[in-house]
Amino acid sequence: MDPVVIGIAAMVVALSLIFYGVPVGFALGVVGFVGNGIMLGWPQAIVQTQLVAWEAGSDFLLIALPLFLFMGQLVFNAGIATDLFETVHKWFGRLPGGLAVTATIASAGFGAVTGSSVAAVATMGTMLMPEMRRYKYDPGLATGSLAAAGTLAILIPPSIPFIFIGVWTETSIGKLFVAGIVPGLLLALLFACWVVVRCVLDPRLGPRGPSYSWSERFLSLFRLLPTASIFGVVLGGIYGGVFTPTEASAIGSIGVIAVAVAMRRLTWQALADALHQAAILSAMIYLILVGGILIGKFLVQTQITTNLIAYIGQSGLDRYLVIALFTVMYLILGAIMDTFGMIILTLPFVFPIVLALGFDRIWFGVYVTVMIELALITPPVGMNVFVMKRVAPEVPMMVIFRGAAPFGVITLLFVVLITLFPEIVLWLPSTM
Amino acid sequence: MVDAPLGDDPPHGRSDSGLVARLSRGAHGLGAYVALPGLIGLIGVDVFLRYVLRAPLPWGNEVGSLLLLVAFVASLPYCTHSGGHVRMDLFYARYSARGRRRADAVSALCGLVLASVLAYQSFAEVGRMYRLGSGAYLIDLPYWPFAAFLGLSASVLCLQFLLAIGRGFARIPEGMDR
Repeated sequence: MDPVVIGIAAMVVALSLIFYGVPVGFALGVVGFVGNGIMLGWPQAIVQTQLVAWEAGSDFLLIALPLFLFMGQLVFNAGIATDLFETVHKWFGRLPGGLAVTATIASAGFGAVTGSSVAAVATMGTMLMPEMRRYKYDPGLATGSLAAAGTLAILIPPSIPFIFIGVWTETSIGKLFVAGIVPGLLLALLFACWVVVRCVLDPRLGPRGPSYSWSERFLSLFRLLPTASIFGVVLGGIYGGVFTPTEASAIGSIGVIAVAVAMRRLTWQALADALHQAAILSAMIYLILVGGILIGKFLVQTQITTNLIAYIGQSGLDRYLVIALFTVMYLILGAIMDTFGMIILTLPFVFPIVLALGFDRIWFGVYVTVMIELALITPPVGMNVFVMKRVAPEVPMMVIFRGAAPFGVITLLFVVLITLFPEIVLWLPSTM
Repeated sequence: MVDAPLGDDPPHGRSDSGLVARLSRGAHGLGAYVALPGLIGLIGVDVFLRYVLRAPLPWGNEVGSLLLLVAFVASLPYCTHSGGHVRMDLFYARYSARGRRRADAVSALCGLVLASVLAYQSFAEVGRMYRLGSGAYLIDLPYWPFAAFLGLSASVLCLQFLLAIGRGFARIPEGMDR
């Protein structure tokens, strides 16, 4: 049988299993194994499966994954974000829609020490939602802004998707981290501006918060020092070439432990919970990675990707049109799939095509991560919206989705912006 | 994950107290409370020695990589046991109890294929690595115990999947299929 036909049939089977409800890692792994067995012979497929599990599991670069997950979980469990929220609120709370602006900026700041958007929504939502209720914020704006702001955490480094994409595409994780800074800050600014404009046009949506004196504002900055110092050491170390991302993840973890101890917020329970969660999440991501690599190796054998690249090359499609088609594809996949499943399922096809079209691999990493951000607030499986629903059970799910929709539109426009002006993404890493 | 629920165990958790569940919890404990802190400590000390004392641990990277393997592999059974693997639940969430059991059984079947291949080949590698004396380059640390651990973890997974398949095709009492 034609290898391309085998490849297409295998992808149909993999997608069917995933849609049926088989965990993504199992579905990709078993199809990859069977496919390799057909293409290479069973003895080699068996050896390759074990080799992939061994090599992916002992990849030094991947150490950053469990350690940054641990760091994020500890920041969450130890309640370190409270000071961040209070400082940002003192500076921006007085603006129209000040609490929603605070949510955006504090979530971006929180992302700088965690890399978990769910942690950002759960933490900031828990702190801000009671205040938003007190000030009678529009439920859609309140919950939508919190759910959307949480997505910034995966674009602003350290970012778990960047590690995952970096390992899979053999792209510098350090450069991906640095490349996420400008787009992350820009997107946070756009979100905040949108909130202010909406609340200027209709002040009932989000009234201004209390005013603070300049001395109170400046004094509050001292409380930001622990968070800022962790971010500075992790990112500064990577940017300056002092640390690798792996080393930065260990230093960041030790830094968070030290800050939590200094703030008297570290309990044995918080530490144990953080280790427990980080280990489970790492195992889950590891399995998806192994499944993805297996199916990726199989697809190389079928030459399906090579044929697809050749087809797109011969079709004369404009490269921006191809990106637009990928964006639509990611929107659809993001609406129905988990983010890691979405990445691992598409990378074997999309990454080589994007490179062949002349786009930069760093740019691509940021592009995919922005698309993941969209997936986190897109119905019916927007993870951030589900978490927000847990924080604000009185607000109907559809109201949260509707509230997050304008931020989704802004994110889509941002994709257009970084596609037309890739320098937004590539400038900072080019200075490394 | 970027994005798994925080603070709770993952969804679809089970509270088995059998041997397989105890084995998965034990392995998870080794990964979460030994391998992960070990990684943080090892990399942290290595950075300190490298940049402050200019005397890095030559074997730091190799041992770190093997600790990572232990951390990943150790928690796989527990992650599976507690339903921590991500799945698309667009349809799964709408299945009846019987439908979910069937889907779980198909999932377990897929997992069983992978885990049995991993267990078989890992144990085969144990013998090969032992005979060849494969190990880390910069420290006297053989690879075979790590391959054996991978095989053991995959074996626990196999047992979990066999139990899940059994549950999937077990008769469901009348009126319990919703």
